[in-house]
Amino acid sequence: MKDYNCSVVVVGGGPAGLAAAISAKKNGAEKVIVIERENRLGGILKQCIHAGFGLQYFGEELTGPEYAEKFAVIAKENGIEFMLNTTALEIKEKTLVCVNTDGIINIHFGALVLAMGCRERTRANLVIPGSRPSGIYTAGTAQKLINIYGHKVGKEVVILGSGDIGMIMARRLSLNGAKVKAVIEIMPYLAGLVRNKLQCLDDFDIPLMLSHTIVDITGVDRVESVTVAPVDENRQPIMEKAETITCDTLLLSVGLIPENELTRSANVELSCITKGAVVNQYKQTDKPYIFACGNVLHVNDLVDHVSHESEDAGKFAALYAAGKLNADEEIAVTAGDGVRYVCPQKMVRTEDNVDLYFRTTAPGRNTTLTISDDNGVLVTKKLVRTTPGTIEKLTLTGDKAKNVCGKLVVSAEHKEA
Amino acid sequence: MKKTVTCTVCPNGCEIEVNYTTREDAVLTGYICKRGISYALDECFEPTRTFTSSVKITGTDRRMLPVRTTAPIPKALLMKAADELKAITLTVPVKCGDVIVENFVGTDAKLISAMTLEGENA
Repeated sequence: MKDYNCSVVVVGGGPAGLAAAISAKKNGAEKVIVIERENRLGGILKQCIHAGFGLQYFGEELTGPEYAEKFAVIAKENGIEFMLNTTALEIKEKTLVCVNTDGIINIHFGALVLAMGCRERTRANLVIPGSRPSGIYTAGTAQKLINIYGHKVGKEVVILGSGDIGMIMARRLSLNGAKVKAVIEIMPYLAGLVRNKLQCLDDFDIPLMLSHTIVDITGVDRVESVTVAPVDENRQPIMEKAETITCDTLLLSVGLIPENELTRSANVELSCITKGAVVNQYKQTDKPYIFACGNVLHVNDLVDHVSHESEDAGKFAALYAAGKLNADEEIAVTAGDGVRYVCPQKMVRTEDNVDLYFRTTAPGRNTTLTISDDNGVLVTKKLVRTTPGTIEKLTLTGDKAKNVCGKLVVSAEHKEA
Repeated sequence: MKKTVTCTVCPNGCEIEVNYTTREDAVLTGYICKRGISYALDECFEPTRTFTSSVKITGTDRRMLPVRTTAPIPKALLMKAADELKAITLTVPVKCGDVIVENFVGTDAKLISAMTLEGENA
């Protein structure tokens, strides 16, 4: 058994972990260690070889590996220590228990940042009926098999779910010579970004079937077909209108779940909506020495946003480890009408600006977004269009944050559907 | 000709209607800002895309090296671009930004590496 001491330990060497580690170091943390279970830094970005990353953060369009490499280089220049091929097992008070080929490693920390990312929802999460042939993949698994290992996953493909990874895989498979027969979405609107529908589906004449779902999968050794049915307003399939699509492969792009097993070992309070930790604006959980950022906190749509959020987590983890982050009265931040969730869920009374990130419940136009407290509306913002697929942000300025009365409520109202 | 283009420059997602015979006399409606005008005209007359893919690499655990073009290429060349990669096999070390093909598919764009791969754990 080996023992290490550090100011800040970061669990996960993906975009969130790298940004948090760099920020912790720049904000005075003497020794920062990043734990990564794979043999390379970068997390999921290693397999996201498409472009579109970095437009906000770097002002240029990068691929996933390029975005990750920029952060990895900065992290190494700043003297951050990495433990690759190392799995974090458990948090015991202020000790992180890890394992690698050297055996058990105990890392004693001043503050810990959770940056483990998320994993994909699977067929089991959806309970799709039918037989269990080979040829059913989650979209991210197919992405890894193709982009990292160069395998072909199938020739005739149906994709369930209009999330971004699913649409990006539709393009990838089309360019590789496969025929993508349809992308099927149970909701009446697109789950991912409009840009991806245009460049990944429309460019390759791939039909998008909204308000449809898969009700059966057939095949013995390999997928032979899927049965697709429209759904009614309660998302129940209309079986008499079902049709069969022959295919040898089914990809599932049906959502992501923050990977919080480690978080549970520390008894950190989790949100039942985001499936991530409940945090204040410092990304600090109810265990004051544990911070969380990136997709393990709430599933993001842009990595640029993950980087910014994680820099906050790293900064405040460093301040906490140095004894410079004082606790104060916490104000509840809640989702009001038209809003599914807000992150952070709590706000420590402050004189600094506080950014609140949230998702709306349904798409709409001419939307008014507001932050209110018990005395009335504090912040208003109008947008031409909002969709649940895009995270929105409202900023509560310091002059208002210090005088909040009661709890904060974030709401969204559409003038048009 | 009449075409509806959904602008992807920003999240507003304007639905821009373009009535045209040539680029010069095109009439556009539905855009909020100027960036939408050039986007919609490009989509009608010379749509381009940044091409990203991967090529085979040996000498490391990763079998495929991510690659991209240094500039967008005509949309019509995407399938040809994908075909050209099949004949390429590289060996480590490769640095991010290394040029793999000059004048890729006959354009001014270069095909470059999008990742540094030096060996097993680098």
